[in-house]
Amino acid sequence: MVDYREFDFPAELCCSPSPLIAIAGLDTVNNAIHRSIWDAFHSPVGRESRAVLNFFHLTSEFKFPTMSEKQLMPNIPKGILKRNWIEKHIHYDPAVIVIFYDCDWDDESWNEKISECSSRVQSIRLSLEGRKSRIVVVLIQKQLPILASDDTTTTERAASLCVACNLDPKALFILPVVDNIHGYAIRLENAFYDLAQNYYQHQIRAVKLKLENLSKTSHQYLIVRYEFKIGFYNELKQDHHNAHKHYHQCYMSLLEIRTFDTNIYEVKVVAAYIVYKISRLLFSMKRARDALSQFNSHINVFKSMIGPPELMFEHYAWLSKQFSMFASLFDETTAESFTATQAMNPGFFFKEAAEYAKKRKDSAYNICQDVNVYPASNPLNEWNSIEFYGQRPWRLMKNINITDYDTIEADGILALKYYENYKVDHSKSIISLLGNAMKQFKNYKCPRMRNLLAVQMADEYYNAKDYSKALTLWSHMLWDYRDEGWKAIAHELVNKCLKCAYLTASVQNYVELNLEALKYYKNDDLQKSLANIGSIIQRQIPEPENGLDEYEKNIAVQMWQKCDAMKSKSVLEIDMSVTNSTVDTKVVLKDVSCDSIEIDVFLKANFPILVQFSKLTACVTCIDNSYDVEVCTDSSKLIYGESKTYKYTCKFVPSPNDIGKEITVNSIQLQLGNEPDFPIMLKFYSSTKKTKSFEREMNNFSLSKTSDDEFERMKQITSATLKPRSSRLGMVIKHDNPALLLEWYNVSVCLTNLEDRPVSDICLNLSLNRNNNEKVELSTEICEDPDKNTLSLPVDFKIGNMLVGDEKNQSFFIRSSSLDTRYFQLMISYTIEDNNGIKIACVKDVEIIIDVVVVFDISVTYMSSRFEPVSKIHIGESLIMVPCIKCLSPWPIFIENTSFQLAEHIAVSPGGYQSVLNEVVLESDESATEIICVTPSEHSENVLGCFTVNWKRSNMESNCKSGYSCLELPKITTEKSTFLVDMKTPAHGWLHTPMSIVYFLHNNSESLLTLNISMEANEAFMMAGHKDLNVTILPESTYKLHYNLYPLVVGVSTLPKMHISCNSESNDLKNILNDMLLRSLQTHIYIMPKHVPTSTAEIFN
Amino acid sequence: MALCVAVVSKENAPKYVASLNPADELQIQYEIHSSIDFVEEKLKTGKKDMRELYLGQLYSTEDHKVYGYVTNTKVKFFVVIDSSNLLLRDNEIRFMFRKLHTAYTELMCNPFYIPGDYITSENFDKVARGILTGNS
Repeated sequence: MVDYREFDFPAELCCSPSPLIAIAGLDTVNNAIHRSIWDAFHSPVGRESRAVLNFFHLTSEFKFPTMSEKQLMPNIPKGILKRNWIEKHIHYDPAVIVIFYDCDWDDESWNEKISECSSRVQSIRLSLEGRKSRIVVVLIQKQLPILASDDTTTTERAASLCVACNLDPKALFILPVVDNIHGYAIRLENAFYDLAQNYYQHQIRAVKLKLENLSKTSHQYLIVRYEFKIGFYNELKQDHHNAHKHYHQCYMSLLEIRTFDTNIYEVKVVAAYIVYKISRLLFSMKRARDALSQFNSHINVFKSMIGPPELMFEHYAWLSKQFSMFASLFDETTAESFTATQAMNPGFFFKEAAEYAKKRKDSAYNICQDVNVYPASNPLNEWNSIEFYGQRPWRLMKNINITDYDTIEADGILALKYYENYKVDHSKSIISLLGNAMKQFKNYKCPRMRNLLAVQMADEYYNAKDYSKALTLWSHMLWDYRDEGWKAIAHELVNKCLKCAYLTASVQNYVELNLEALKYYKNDDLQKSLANIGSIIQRQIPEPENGLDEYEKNIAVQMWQKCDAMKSKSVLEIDMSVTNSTVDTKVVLKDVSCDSIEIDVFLKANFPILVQFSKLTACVTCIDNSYDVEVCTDSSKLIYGESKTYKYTCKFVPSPNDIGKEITVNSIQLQLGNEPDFPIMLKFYSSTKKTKSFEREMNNFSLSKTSDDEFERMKQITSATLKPRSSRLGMVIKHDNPALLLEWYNVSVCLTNLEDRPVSDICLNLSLNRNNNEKVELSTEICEDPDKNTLSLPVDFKIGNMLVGDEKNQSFFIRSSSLDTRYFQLMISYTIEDNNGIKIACVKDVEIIIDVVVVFDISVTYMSSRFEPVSKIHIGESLIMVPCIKCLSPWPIFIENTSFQLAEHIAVSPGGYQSVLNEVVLESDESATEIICVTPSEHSENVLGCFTVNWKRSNMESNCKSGYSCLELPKITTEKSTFLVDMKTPAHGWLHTPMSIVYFLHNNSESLLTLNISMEANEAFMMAGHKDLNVTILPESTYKLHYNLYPLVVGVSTLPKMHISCNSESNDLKNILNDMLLRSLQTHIYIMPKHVPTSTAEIFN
Repeated sequence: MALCVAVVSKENAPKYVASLNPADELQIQYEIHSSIDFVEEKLKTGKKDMRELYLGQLYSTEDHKVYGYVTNTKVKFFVVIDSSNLLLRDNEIRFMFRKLHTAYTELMCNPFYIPGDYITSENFDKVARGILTGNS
């Protein structure tokens, strides 16, 4: 009995060949320089652009393979491809032999060196025995070649060396040992590569020559062989295109060979190898599509070439191998290039390979099952030493006697059958192929195809009697198919899984699957499932599943008897989140408070016969605490039959420690059976998401609203936060909304203890809540008393303890400097002791909303001394400012006082300023006006100052403290004027009574001013004084003009008009003068009727 | 003519399966189920022509060929034929799908049918059986 290995792809075939270069004369062990040269040839630097070469050490012990004898006439060979040929060219037959030799041009012992070198070359040439391998000498030199000076000696010596070694001058290379050995190595490599190309081209030519002498009829084997050789040489040459061409021709010639039972196996093996080469080349040339079609036609040709029927399994093995080979090639070469798609990926080929592996298994079972003896003649003995690929070892046996040829053949086939029957692990290979296929389909996003393969894999595990693995796989697939609603498949898988669970005596799985089965089974099967669950509860061995043979049953029964879980465990817990049974629960947390928690449990059950459960409990957890709540222990209320939903309610009191934490209903447990037996606990975890439930697309269109639907629609509430006890203190918050801008707004909180026992540690916490915008916090001030410091938010007001019925007040002030509405959060917290002296915290939140409104609308108007609005002012001229205050507040406002904060250069006019609005109360929408007369004294920025009103609410009950409104006086342009006119008149005149008017002419400039002044008389007055006058005014001085007027009419009379003109030509000044006259001179005066003192009285008297 | 006709909802649950011989129905169901992968992929990559509902051959084994068709509401129709049946051309398969689609549309128009329920309509069954036996 030998270790026979079936058909496979040999390593020498699977590698990608590269030119073989033999290296001689490098002592890599002892010589550092030699070592570095060797390493340079193998260094990975720049590998992509470098020639691919295969180096090996040519040691003195190396023996070249013996040359095949040359025959003049091509004979009829015994086989197609020699087994050793490929390996020979990959490892032993070099294209180039490189002889390294240490020698400098100026070496002292040049002659000795030359003879040593030539003797080395000669000996190697001898050992080649007429091979055409190229020989190359590389001189390792310690100095860089000096080009100019030593030229003649160098060429001479090089020539002499070439002659001595009988070497082509082109085959002599110099390798200076310098820093950049890497660059020289690459150049040498390229030279070697060219020589190798040359060598292989020569070989190809030689083979082609031989090929031409062959005839198609008699030398079919040789034609195939030579074409293969040409293809392989081309591959060595890295000429993929030609390699493919010749391999293809080779394949075509192979197909022409007539096949018999004796050579069909050899043809198939060689065909497989050629197709391997072709596929590999096509993939590497990125012609995946061609590779696919080539492979398909290959399979179509050979699918029907079964060979001897008693070796059917061998054919399937071969086919399976073809597919798996192609799949791996496809996978390797497309990993980077993404030529594979979902519809055409290596997975399909692996799948096909697995399918053929299954067929092989079947046919092996049919053909070989009664072969139990290995033939004594040991026909497979020499399988490893046959000369040709794919030949039968027994036909090579020596001492073949023609007569017993048939016996030997029969023995050989028998041996193969025996081997197939006993040595091949079919299941293993099927499973590994399926595994590969699954991996591919996963990559190419075919989850369902993967599921299908997983089911098949589990089938194979089952066949191989690995029930636990089959069970795991099947049960996972069961979930997937079930979740997508493929009931027929799920039903089948449940059957299969149940068998496995029974055969492995796995109690847990067995019960789970039986529960699942309730959903699919009908009538008898269903009764049986329930009965089996019953027997588990009774700690008895369940009835065997259908479709098991006696042997399996016996083993299973033994396993059940040994089952530890059945004996030792007290309760069997079943996680219902993985099974999909006819019982389901939902839970709603109904009322959660610190006093009690109420849970509603809804249970939907559907059993064909009445099933009585024993207990329904809920497991409620908090962070580090858990409660087992008994929902229903009365088993008479836990009897379920046909589809119906039941509702149970339970209550429990949470521990005070859990206040403020989240409580969760973790699971609902439904127990079947009672303690001394082996009760089954169905655990429904509420947190794990139930498998996709297939709600009907348009549930609301359904006609009947059965309880079933209601259950489906019900929304679970499984967790809630346990809130602290709510406060029972009376709390009254008083404030007069809205608040006024910039007032201290009073809020008072009045607390009353309405609890039935004293409370302690009362604290009010005031903060702005999230509704506010960001700026609000900056524009809000808060304090307990406006005279004290402001506090920063959030503010705590500690109030201390309160006895029963106590009342306490806390007030605070808020000042807002923007108009945003403020949302405050006022939280009261305190502790109270319960009956057992345990402190319980209570809290209550209140929101306080405060709107802010404007108090006044203040506007300021500027007027000239003649009460006419002005747009600019002049230094030295008086200005009247009139602020108008309009009350916008909804409350009456008491104005405490008003004041002006004038800029430095503004002086209050003689007569001073007295506020006229002090202590005035303004109702809503009322207005008040203040007035002041000022004189700007110097030219400066246009800032005039501020106007401030201090005010408060007029109703004293509101407790709000004073506010103020401040207005910056609007800016106005100030101008400096060079000339000013002023006049002094009496307030009024009397008819026929002379009065005097004085004009003051001020020259504010720094130059002499010469003016022409004329007075225009009119009918209302008689006038005395200069009528036409030339005046010269000195810089910074004033000129006075006196006039006496005698009024002639009563009433408002026009004063004589003054005209001033300037001698200088400038128009500007003229305009200014006129402007100024208009602005500053009074034009009218009121004349009273004649004043008759006492005289009338005298007349009457 | 066809071996099996199936309707699969947009959530990929079977809504109707009818097959010529019940013996290999399970195997065909497995195959239809794995063909959904290819339908999903085609739907994901986006069809060029929204009016073309026929997806062509999705999957083939030694025994069966699976053809697919998907409506605009993502309801999938499958027709499985015998691999050895070379008489059926693409056009005939298209015709089968068109008939199925018409029958399905009529079913949807029935106010007593709730979309998403398993299809029990006799009319639809008749059409499907007609496709199976090839005499419609």
